[in-house]
Amino acid sequence: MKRNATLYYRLRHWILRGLLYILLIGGAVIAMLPFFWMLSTSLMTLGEAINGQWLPKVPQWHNYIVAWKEANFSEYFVNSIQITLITLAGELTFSILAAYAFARIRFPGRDVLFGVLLSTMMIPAMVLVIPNFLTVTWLGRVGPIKWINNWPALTIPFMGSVFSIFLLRQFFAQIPDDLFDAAQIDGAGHWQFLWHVALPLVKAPILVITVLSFIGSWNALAWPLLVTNNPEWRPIAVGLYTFIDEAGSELNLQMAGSVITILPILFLYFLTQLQFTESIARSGLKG
Amino acid sequence: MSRKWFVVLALVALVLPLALTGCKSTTPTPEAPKATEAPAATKAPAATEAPTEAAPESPLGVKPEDLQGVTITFWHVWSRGTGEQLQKLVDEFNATNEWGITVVAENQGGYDDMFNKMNAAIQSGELPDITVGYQNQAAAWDQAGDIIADLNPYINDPVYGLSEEEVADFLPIFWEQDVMGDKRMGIPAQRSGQFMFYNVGWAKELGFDKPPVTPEEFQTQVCAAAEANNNDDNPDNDGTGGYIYNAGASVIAGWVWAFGGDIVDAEGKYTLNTPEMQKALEYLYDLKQAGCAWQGVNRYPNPEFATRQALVTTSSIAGIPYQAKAMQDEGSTDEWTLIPFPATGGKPVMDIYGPSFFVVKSTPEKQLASWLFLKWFTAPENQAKWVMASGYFPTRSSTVDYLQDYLTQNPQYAAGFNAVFGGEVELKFEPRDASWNAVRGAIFDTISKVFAEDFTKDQIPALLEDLQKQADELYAEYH
Repeated sequence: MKRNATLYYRLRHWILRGLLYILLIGGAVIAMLPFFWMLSTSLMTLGEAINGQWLPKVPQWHNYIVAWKEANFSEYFVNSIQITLITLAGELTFSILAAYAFARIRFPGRDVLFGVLLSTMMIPAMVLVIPNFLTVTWLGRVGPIKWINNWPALTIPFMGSVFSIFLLRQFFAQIPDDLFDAAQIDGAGHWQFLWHVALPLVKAPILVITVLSFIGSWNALAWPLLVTNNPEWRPIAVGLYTFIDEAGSELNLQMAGSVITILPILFLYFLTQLQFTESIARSGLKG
Repeated sequence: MSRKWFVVLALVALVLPLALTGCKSTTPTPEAPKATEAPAATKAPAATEAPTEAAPESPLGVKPEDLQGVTITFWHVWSRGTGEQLQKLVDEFNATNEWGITVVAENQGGYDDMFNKMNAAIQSGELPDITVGYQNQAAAWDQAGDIIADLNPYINDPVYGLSEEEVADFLPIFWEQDVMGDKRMGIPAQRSGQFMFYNVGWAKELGFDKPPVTPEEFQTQVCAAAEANNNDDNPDNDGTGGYIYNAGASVIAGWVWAFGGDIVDAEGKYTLNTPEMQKALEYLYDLKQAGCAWQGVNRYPNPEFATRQALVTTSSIAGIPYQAKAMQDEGSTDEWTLIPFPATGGKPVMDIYGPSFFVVKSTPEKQLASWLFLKWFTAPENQAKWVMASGYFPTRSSTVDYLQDYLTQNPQYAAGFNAVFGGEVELKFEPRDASWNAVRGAIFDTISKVFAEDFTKDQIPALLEDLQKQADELYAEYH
């Protein structure tokens, strides 16, 4: 009798586990399918691509070379790296400082200011396009360097990220006061505490911000098109756009370009995967 | 995290931008040009001793030497092959023009990007000297900022303008498209047309020796194709074979014209709730219900056409290379061609559309320099080079003299070209009102409902009433 019950529980366990795996594999397949399609299409002829085939008869490896050349990726790739690094460095610097201030320094109106800052997340990005454009145009006229068609317009507006400040502030706020008190007894001020104690504890959210900021800058299209007039500072997404015209698109080259475009993002993600997942889990964020 | 790490990060944030500023060339931002009215004819030709031999004088008030060193910015929408050809033409102009004008061509993405960018630029004042767009887009720009220069003084100028023969060389309907009231907003850059791709080879096998001319003939042929696919040995193609419909505004306009109606009245107001519109929708509804028309899975139904899943699809002239490629890759040897929409009486009507060049108000010198570039660019020999790269129609009839080989090598293009330039079809253009873009969206969203599974034919009048209301509201918004 006992043996039967054990067998039943084991069987139930394996069936449930099997169902779980089927579900997870199904989810993984659904998630991977677009990537597979992108890779497969990138190796097809145009005819195979627009005829909706799943696999190329003969892989067209030269699509990558054609895409690289025709989309002017040599120039756009370098531009994207520069834009992304500047934005990332600025966003991390300002977000860390602002988040720390909101979390650990008491000053009049702190919570109201933080509330106002958070409320700006409710404003749709599209609404801000024209005001931002006018602002950067004006700054270019009155400032010492030009903004339009130059790195400031492409990077500075994205250095103040409310989401990053919010995320880091939540992590800074979780650091026990005892640690700060102990550091204070040892003679540390806010700067020392931030550098020596707080920042090492928030590595995971910093990596999340790094990945998200990187993806945001790397994939940007509408704003760069608006604030640049020629390829001098245009990012890689603009290059991808050249494969589409009003009567059709060269899907195979577009996908080859897409593979080239997402490689740095994939590389960064795999590099920071562990911390990224940990941070997402701890902060309760969802995609 | 060490202090060193943070300091490095902060330094990168501050130093990298400055370093990069040094790396890249820093072309000074051109000053926003001061908007001026188009130069008026203020100066009478100077009296000379021998008036019969005197060279004509331009009333524009700009001397040829004033054009020396003038640089104009030209925002366009073409990239890759067409973009490269455009740049070649620009380079040629820069190298050969007698006035010393320099044109700087800059791609700004697609037409929607250009529209948004111009709207933003109107606010900031950082405008180009020449821009490209559809007529309704230019109407919206001009409405927003009164920025488009009237080209009439330039075209009629005795020194820099066009002769009567040159003006007559432009296809009248193309030429007319850019006139709004008394103002000539621009000149046509290129034109496209809404056609149908028709599988001649398959139609012959089905027993049809000539393309359909009337809606009845069209119905007979597409239904025969659908029936052929339903009755063959291949179950995968059941439900296909006829006409692949879509609810795009250009296609719907084509069908309304096919039934003798129109989508605007003489004053330019939308007329979307008309008996002809109703007939057109009922016709398409019946085709779909009878299984003679279906909705393809691809945005551009090239594969379906290439694999005999459609006898007829709709496309613009620019879709020819994509269709040819699909036929080639599918191994199809079917003969195919371009035909106009069917018609209930008289000539078939064809929807003609395309972008124009617009000169933005700036200084008299820059405006004249912009005009001189456009005049050069639209000359037949230059336009022929442009047509061969873009696959669009030229805007001047005499361009054909330079296109003979191209027409021989591209029979589908030739079929479309002959229909338009040979007078085989009546040409009509879509509304040029600033509200047209929004109304196009409303037409697509509303008419798509006709092809939904639960839609019934008796709902069409109410649907059209709603569509008319939306169009009226949008029109009012822009006026």
